[in-house]
Amino acid sequence: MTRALHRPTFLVCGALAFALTGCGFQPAPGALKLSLNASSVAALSDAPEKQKELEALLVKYFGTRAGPRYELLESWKSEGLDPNHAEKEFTPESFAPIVAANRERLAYEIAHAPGPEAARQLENTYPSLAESAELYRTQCMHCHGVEGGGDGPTGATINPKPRDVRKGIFKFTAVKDKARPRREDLVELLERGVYGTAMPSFARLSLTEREGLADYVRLLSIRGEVESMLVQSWKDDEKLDDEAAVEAIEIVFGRWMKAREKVIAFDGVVPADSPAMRAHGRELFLDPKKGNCFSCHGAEGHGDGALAFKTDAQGRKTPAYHDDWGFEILPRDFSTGVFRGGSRPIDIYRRIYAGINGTPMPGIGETKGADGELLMKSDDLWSLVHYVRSLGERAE
Amino acid sequence: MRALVATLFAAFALLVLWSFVVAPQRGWAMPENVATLGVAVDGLFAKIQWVVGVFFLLTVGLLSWIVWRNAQGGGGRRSAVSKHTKLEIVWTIVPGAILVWLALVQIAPWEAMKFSNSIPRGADGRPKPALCEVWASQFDWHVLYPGADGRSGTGDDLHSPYELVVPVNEPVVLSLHSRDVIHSFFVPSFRLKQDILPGRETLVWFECTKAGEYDLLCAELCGFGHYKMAGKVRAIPRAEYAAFLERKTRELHSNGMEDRK
Amino acid sequence: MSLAARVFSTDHKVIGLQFFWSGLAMTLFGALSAMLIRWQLAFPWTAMPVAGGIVFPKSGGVPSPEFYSALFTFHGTVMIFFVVIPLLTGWLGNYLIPLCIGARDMAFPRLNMLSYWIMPLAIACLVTGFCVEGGAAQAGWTSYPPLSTVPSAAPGSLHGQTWWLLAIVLLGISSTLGAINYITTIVKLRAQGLSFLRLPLVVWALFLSACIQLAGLPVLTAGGILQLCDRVLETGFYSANGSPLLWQHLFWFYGHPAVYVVILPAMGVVSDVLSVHGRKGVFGYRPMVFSMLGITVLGFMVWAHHMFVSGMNPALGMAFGIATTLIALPSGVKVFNWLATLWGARIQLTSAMLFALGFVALFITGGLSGLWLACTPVDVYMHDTYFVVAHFHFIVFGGSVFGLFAACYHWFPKMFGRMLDERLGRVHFVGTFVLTVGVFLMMHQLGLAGMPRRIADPTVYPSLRHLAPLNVSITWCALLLAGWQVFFLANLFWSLARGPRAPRNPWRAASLEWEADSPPPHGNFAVQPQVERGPYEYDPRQGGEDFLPQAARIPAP
Repeated sequence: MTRALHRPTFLVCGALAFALTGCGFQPAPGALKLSLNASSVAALSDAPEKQKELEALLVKYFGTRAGPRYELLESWKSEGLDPNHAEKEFTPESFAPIVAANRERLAYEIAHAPGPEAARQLENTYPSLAESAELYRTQCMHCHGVEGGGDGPTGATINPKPRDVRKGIFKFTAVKDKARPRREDLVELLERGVYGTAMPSFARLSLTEREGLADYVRLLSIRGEVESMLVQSWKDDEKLDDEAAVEAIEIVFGRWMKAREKVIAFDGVVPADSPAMRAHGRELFLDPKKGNCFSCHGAEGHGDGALAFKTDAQGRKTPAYHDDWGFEILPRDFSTGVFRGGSRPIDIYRRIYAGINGTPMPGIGETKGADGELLMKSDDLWSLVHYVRSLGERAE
Repeated sequence: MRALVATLFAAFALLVLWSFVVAPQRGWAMPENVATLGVAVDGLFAKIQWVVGVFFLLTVGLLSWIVWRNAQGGGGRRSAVSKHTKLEIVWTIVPGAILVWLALVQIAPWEAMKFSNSIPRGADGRPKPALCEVWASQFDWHVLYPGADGRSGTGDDLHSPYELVVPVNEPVVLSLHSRDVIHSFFVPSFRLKQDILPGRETLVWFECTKAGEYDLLCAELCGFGHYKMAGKVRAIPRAEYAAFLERKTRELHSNGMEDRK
Repeated sequence: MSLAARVFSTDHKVIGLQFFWSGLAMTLFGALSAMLIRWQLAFPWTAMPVAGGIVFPKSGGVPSPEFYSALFTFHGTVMIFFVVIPLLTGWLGNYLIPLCIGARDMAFPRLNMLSYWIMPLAIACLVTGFCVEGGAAQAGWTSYPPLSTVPSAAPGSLHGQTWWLLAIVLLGISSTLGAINYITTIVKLRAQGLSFLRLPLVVWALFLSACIQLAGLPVLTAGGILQLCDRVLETGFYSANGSPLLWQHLFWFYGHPAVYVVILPAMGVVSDVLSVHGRKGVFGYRPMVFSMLGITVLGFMVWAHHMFVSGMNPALGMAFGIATTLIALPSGVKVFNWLATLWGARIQLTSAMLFALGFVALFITGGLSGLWLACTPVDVYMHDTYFVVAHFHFIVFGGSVFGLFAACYHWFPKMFGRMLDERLGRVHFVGTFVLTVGVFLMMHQLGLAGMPRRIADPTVYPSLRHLAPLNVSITWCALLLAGWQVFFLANLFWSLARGPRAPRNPWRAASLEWEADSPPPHGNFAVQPQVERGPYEYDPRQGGEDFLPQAARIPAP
């Protein structure tokens, strides 16, 4: 190369070299927005302008992805209010005791923290919804999706699929009657993980971070339910306005407020495990008029009961049931010893008592027999619990 | 050019030296060792650091000097010598001896860390039973403390996701398992790492000498969640450890209503 | 000559340059994946440039964790199997061997052509992995089962992993054919008077690396076929009930000697370049040959140092730890001989010489860091941390890639008949050397602090959060290093088109390839040379005619 060309060549190359490092890059996530559910889009496919209206309503009442907020509860949230502690109707007068109850609970957690480091973490203020939204983006979004629809990129190939929270259905809670979960249910699930699935334990996050995430997930869930209610409202009555939105939010919020009333309360000491309880549990397990568990879970609890599968025309067995999200579901195989909702006796008790919301697993805790009496007494339930837990024990 | 290149190599040598010397105070070095078996590891690391440091500075320094003297304008004396058997013997035997020494000093610490007859023994001379089972899965750590029956895998097990609590100042044996793919149990502060193969039990042992909380990391690619497979090892005095087990037992038998209104 | 005859040429020089161009193209993709990896490590969960917008539009350009796994799998696979090995063995091996031994072509020219054309097939297989459900292979270039064999273990293990295995098996076949060719050519087609101990060290290196390929590749190929069986036929060779460790042994039995395939030719290049551009014979020719022989043989006895903590019998760990510590010796002897070569030499700081000098400095660093890794108790800590990443990048980038640059600057005139611009070359060297150190040096400290490999976000761990500034500075250096190669590419393409014509022997070198024209015609030599002496007869004490060519002078008629 001639000397005359050296200087311009160096200048161009140097500029290119530095340009490739991208001095203009702002390391940040790109534009992310909360979109509509695919089913909403499909339902409103004949009215695209209504899609925009729906989106605008959701933004108005629930904020944006980076700035989530409850429009209706804005002033209440800044007080540190947890609507789950409300026992009656929501009124401005009920704030003060609610806020006090909230602070009292925090003091309890601090007093019972496992170490000085954990206690210090708790003393920090709760993260704001926006901070939790950012934590959700980095920790949860790749599986659970931007709107909590379980449709993140990683979710596509894992089994079971990540939860779609937009239906407001949560499987492993302490409440009955298919109610919405308590906030503690979500927080504890984050701490425990869902053992046996790709959902890990998030105990490495602080308690307040987990509570903030639970708050944000609840917002996504409420937003999702409100969205489908508004779509229904448009299809039924052609109503898609502020009035319809406020009505939907009050209904959905009310569902979450009732969690306290719906807790499966068991006072007293959990009955101890014993061979007698296990034997009794096994009887109930196999009794078609009582537990009837074997019909789905199989005689030995391997999840291979007669009702679990259906046979198609070619004689192939496929799962007979689907869950409320439309995915095939099989009854649990207890011999693995893995219980996704927690393996303590009280956890199994709750599953048997109230069933598992979103799945065909029914609850028999309050079922009444032909004589009008409870089909399963308390000891019956605990016998079943101990029997089911024993199925997962490893042999010597 | 000669000056630039010679300076480049000299500066490189000094930069490498600097990066290792200032490493400890900047958190660029191994965290404080808190395990008995880690003492030998740190000792070996230091010995090798001396050997490497001397040879590195010698050779790269020499390279820089040679460029300075022998590139155009350097004025160094030219020599056509390309064969010197005695020199070859010296610089084969001397480094060879050092390497043989290094190969031999690593044997004893390795045996103490990994050979099955080095497992800690109880007062009766038999191998200590495992304190708990640690189950690695995609993507977290799940600890199973045996309950009252002394066996893991039964209904009275105490489950502890994420947190492994161990007593300090006594030998601890862990039984490692994997639910699915190969994971690796890595506690940097203990200088401890062991791959966990699925389908079999893997034993590790250590004695932690300082109470505290230490990171547990997965050190074998196990899927998309490998990076977030964090755990925590908490070493506490024996008395507190008993209290910890009691608390977990109460949690196991909880009726779910204690603190909730 | 028809287009088909040109494209499917059996001339070793054409095939060599085909390897050169495809190697260069694959480098761009390997480098791109490296930049994306570095971006995620420095700025986790931000919009990833280039790939983010295309692959993850719904997530604001933020990559998923399994995409990160696919990136580093792709990076390792491409750089080792599609860049350094093809460039060192395919480009340099093909081009130089017949010329340096005075032959007209390889022993099996058609086999040679076939071994090249398998490569595009292998590339197609690798790329197909990105287009199937679940995406490309995500189990690392080491592909440990059960992660790589159980379809539900990773999205990439659904289908992408099968395509990856096909690519590897194809490459294994291609390299084995090449190795057969090189060995036969060197053994049978040397010019008269060219004994083994008169061969240039680059030919020795290529010969020994071909021997390694021949002995090791069948094991990798067999292991890969077993993994294909596990995936496609649901056999259980590597399953939890079988032996996941079996794969590790079969893989590393080839995988470790492969790193010597990657370094030996570069060492050979450096020996030649230091000698020619220093006007001095290589110091200790025979010890250099014996060292390379030692590396080749010992290289097959140390593979399980990748498996110290794998769960294999620790007695094996002890044996391999001792062997690995000892294998440092032959490489050390070579370093001393290079320094002695330079001592008293008349060093000309050409671009080729600069990169050869850089090789020496960086190879020393990478080799010495291996001493910590060879010590089994210390490796327990270092294994699968960034310390290992630092170690092998100093050797593969600081060593092999610097060797490749030196080879390019040295043999470009012979291969293309033109001269590369020296000033651009000097600027290229200074920036590349400084930035290489900037990228890889502090990775030692990252590893010492406990940062594991292959993790998409180190900030998950409280004990690693303070390392974020180091990760950021490494990323900026890496981006700048990639950008800096513009100086090389501009030089390359400009000189190809408009560089000054190269004389037959611009460096006044003594070995046989410089007897042919620049570039050599089909058939290489008008008359087959006769060899009278070794390849390094230089005298730095003289000016002017300071060398004796290896070939005998034919008196003018």
